[in-house]
Amino acid sequence: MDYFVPKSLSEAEKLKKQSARAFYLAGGTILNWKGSPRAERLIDLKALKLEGIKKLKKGVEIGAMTTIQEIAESGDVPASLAGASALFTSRNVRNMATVGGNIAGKFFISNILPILVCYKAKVKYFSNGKKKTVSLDKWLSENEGIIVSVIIENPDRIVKFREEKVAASDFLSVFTSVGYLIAGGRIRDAEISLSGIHRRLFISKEAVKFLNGKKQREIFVSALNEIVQKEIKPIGDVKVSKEVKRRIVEEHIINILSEIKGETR
Amino acid sequence: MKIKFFLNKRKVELDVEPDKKVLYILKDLSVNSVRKGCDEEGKCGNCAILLDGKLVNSCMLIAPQIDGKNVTTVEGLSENGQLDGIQKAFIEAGVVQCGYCTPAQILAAKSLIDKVKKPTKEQIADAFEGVLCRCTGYKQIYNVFEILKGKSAKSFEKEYKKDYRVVGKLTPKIDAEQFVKADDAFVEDYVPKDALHLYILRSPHAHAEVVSIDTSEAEKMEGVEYILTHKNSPKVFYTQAGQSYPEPSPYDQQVISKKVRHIGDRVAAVAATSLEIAKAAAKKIKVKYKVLKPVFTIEDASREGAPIIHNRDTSIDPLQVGADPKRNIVCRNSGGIGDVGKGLKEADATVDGFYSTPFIQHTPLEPHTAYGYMKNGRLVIHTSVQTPFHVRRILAHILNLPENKIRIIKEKVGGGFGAKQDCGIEDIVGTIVYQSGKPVYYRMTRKEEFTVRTRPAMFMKIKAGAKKNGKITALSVETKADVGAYGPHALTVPMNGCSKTLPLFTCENMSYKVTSYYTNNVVSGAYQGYGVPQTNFAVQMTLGKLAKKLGMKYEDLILKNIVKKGYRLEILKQLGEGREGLAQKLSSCGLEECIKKGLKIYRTWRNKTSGANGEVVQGKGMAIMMQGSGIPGLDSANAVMKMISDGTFMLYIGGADLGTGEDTVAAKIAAEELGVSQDNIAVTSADTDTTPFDKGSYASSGTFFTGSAAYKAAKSMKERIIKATAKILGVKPSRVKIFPGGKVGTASRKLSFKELAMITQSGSGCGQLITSGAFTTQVSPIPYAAHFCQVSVNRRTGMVKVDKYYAVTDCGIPINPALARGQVYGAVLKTIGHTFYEALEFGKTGKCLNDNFTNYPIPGIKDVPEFFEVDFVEVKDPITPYVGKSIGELSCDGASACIGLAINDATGIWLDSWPFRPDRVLKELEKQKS
Ligand SMILES: Cc1cc2nc3c(=O)[nH]c(=O)nc-3n(C[C@H](O)[C@H](O)[C@H](O)COP(=O)(O)OP(=O)(O)OC[C@H]3O[C@@H](n4cnc5c(N)ncnc54)[C@H](O)[C@@H]3O)c2cc1C
Ligand code: FES
Ligand code: FES
Repeated sequence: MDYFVPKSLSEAEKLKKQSARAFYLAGGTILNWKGSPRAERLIDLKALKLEGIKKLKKGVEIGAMTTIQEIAESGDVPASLAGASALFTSRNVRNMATVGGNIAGKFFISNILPILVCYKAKVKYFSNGKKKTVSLDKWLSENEGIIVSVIIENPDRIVKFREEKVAASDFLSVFTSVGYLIAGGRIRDAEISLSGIHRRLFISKEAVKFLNGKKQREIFVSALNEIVQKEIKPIGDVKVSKEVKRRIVEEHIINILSEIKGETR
Repeated sequence: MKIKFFLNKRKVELDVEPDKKVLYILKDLSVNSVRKGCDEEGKCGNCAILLDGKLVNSCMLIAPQIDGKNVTTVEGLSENGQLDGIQKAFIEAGVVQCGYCTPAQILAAKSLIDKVKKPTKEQIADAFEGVLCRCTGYKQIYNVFEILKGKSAKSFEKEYKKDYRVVGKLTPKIDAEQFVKADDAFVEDYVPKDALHLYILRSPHAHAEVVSIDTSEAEKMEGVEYILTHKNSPKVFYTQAGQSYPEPSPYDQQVISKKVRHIGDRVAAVAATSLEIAKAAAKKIKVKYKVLKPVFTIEDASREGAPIIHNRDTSIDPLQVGADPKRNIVCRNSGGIGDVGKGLKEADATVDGFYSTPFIQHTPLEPHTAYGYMKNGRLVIHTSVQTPFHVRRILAHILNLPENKIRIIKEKVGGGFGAKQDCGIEDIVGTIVYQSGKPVYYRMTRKEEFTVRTRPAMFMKIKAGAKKNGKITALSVETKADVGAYGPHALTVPMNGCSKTLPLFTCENMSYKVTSYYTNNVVSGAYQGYGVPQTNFAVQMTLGKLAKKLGMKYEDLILKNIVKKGYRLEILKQLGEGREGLAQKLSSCGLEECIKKGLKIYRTWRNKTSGANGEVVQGKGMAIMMQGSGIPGLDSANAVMKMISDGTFMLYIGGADLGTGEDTVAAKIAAEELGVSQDNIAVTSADTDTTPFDKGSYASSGTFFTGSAAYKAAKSMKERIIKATAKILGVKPSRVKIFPGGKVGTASRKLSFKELAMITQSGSGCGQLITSGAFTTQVSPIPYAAHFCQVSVNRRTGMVKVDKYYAVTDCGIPINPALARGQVYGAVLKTIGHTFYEALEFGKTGKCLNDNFTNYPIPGIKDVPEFFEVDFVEVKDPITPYVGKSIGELSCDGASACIGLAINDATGIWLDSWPFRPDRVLKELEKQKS
């Protein structure tokens, strides 16, 4: 296996293009999982200065190589992102795992991605010699280039989440996150995202339509739950069946909404 | 690639492959402390290091990720042999048991304490959540931080036995320093570079015959040194069960058989200069199978015309245990006292219950590991095993060797819990070493652990009846066990379930019937509790139902029917280990005291309702339990003691400490008896060449049997010391006394033990003082406990959480209180895992679907209930002055029942099968609605 430590983004991109089985190495928690990386070439991103959390005039920019533990401990990121990061399986893994790897790695569960979706995070990436910024959703579908950073432009969005797992050392079973803005007393730009339900991240299309334009007190849990339940097709595993996952989602929606109502009362 | 890094402040420069895991880089540098507890899944954290001060898993890092960085391991903590404060605190808190996870835990503590001087409980849990420990139950970890704040262990850990100096007192575990420093301890620490590595090719089929096997391509590979298949494997039948001879387990195993009986059964074994070569060679072995129809359930196995898994001659079995292999029956037994039918008729209320428990894995963090070689014509095996003497006997039988040609050395064991009670890998390692003459090392993967030794699946029918006043008139247990492909412990596990539940009660009509079946499932065997956790769950749940029917409180029903001191346990005569057992009069019994003590706290717990819509409901439950302390009339233990020339002592015991502190217990008892400090006794244990026979560590026998052998050797040493001193002083032995602090003599003239040793060992002396102690018994003290818990059930999701857990135990004298407490915490937490999520799942072909820590989680520190307390009632038993009853197995017997009853209290549903997964809870709630 070849190993390179490029000094620039262009060099990294060039190295990647030279080999079909080349991977960017960040924390390695996915690449090095269960055996050595199954790669012909590893391009280590460690010299590209992609780490660190920067407060922007409005919002915050998190370098791709920032670890999940750093995010969990940071006072500069929105509270829900820090809180969800702290729930990530264990400190041993959090200390290596990066936010860039979390996005690009598309691990079968994530408690970071649903939160980023709900903050309407943007991904700054480097491709074909240029830096571009797109929505996280778009990046996830196009999967292009080297992730440079994640930008949360509006940390004031209301973002709430719940997580359920069978045992503390286990991967999460279901992670549910809801986010929106309040403008003129009404919900705008809502997002609902779940992990653990499908093989990949779930981002709601229908339920958010239901939320947008409503006043917070107008949301009926049962109605919202019904729409979400229609949208999801959970996959079960030996520990938690798909029926139970549906119940957990319902529970999460109830608790998230009751938390929001409690805060706005 | 070239990398440079600092390892414990020392500069290291290496040329390595970039994809080499840091775990293996460090292992190559002889860093012991990075322990591989999972298959590089990032789940166990036992391989942890500090990378620039941050806790990370070395199995998840490759070489360049440490380039230019500082790597710290526990080897770097102690300077000039002096322990670091954290290491000392771990010892003082008594949180070191088997020690396999200890280095990683110490680093977790260090990474936290370097940042936060006085961490909160949450911060501690957060720091430790990535390091799994199967022994300790984590609770005492919090005490480490209290000690680091300046408190002494005595401020939170009680001591027992006022009139003793060492027994019942807080003293360090004698091998704790070795673990906190990660000195050589486990088999893997002793393996030389030239040892061959063993890879076992395992069957992909659940039931098949090997029609042909061609190893020629594999043999040609450079580095391949030996290949074992059924062709060159010994043809002898034996049982792997590490039990006293004659074993009550069928002789149904061969080292490698022509027939494979479960997925993962042995097909061939390749010994090569590296594991990679051995694996690659195994891939080149061409095997043709005739696939046979498998059976995976007892129903299928017992059906007329079912495929026969073992077609064999049972006359080779040393004990006839009712086998009928043509009907896939491994063994049968039944018996009882009184007349259950009559008792049921007399009852005002009766209950029939049916319960099931699944295959479960022990998951010791150190997998099975053995290293063997030939020396001077003798076979030597260093191994991680609970029964070195049984293993020697079994190997001698397999290889047709006199036992004195074999030496088994038990190294430190990184958790056993019954998984290592058997000759589970020494048979194949020993065969290859003996046949090839070459040194061989074998370490199972986590995946292999899951497929070759488990707790059997059990199905229990319980009948009980009682009078209106609560007097139980009948109790019967009928167990069917699916023991999988081979039959080690097939009879004794389900039998023990009966012999450690029925004798809890004074009921006069009791019966049992057990039948074990072969299937093509994974092999089962002993697991901490040995059938009792399952059967006790079934019995207590049935009694819970009975109490409800009678309109009684569960605790009142129990208190009305339990045995007390002096009661004669007639039923035990029926419940021997494949032969007649011994009826026993209870020499002590603290059960009632345990219940009453526990109830005081339990009754203060109030059930509440919470959740957005009141969907979370609380409930409380309790359960009682018993175990044995070894098997009277069957087990035996021996000890030898030597006074050495400075007047200190060497104690040699055959008992195999599994990390539970047996060596420490033996040392404490000997020290107490001789009036010296624990430091004055050094223990060598479990080496078949140098220590005397001991049946090994199982059946809860360590503390009582091995401890009593040590007591007898020390008592005898005391007599020798007195006699020798009397002779030297020219006085009558009756005038000589031993004084605390290693002195002996009369009121007017005393010798120090050092002076005595010099004189006795000199040319004119009587010779070195050497004594032995042999312990056998017809009675063994029975430990009892009562456990109490409160749970929260989410009626919407079916998720259940244990909020409070309180365990009160009669373990005789808690000889080492901190260790005893740790044993209880560990056992309870493990059982909480068994109750809720630990269960092996199999696909249609018999393939295990969750043979790893990713899909088979075990409890971590954040699973510890918010209130988790352990208490002891001090009970005196006259058998010896130092009766410490067993504790580890006992403490596994109650959590499931306790939780099951608490869930019923909360919701009204009965969960009769483990694990209590949320879908099972929801199903029962649905049923209840309809
Ligand atoms: C035991 C264990 C527990 C875990 N628990 C959780 C959990 O609780 N929650 C959770 O969300 N995840 C979890 N994960 C998944 C994983 O750790 C995270 O997704 C992590 O953030 C991945 O980051 P990394 O830096 O380690 O990725 P790497 O392994 O370095 O890379 C992953 C993938 O992303 C690519 N990549 C990395 N960085 C970039 C970049 N900047 N630009 C483009 N491509 C890039 C790599 O080429 C690779 O394909 C767990 C994994 C394991 C093994
Ligand atoms: S071996 Fe590294 S986490 Fe288990
Ligand atoms: S002491 Fe932790 S695994 Fe044994």
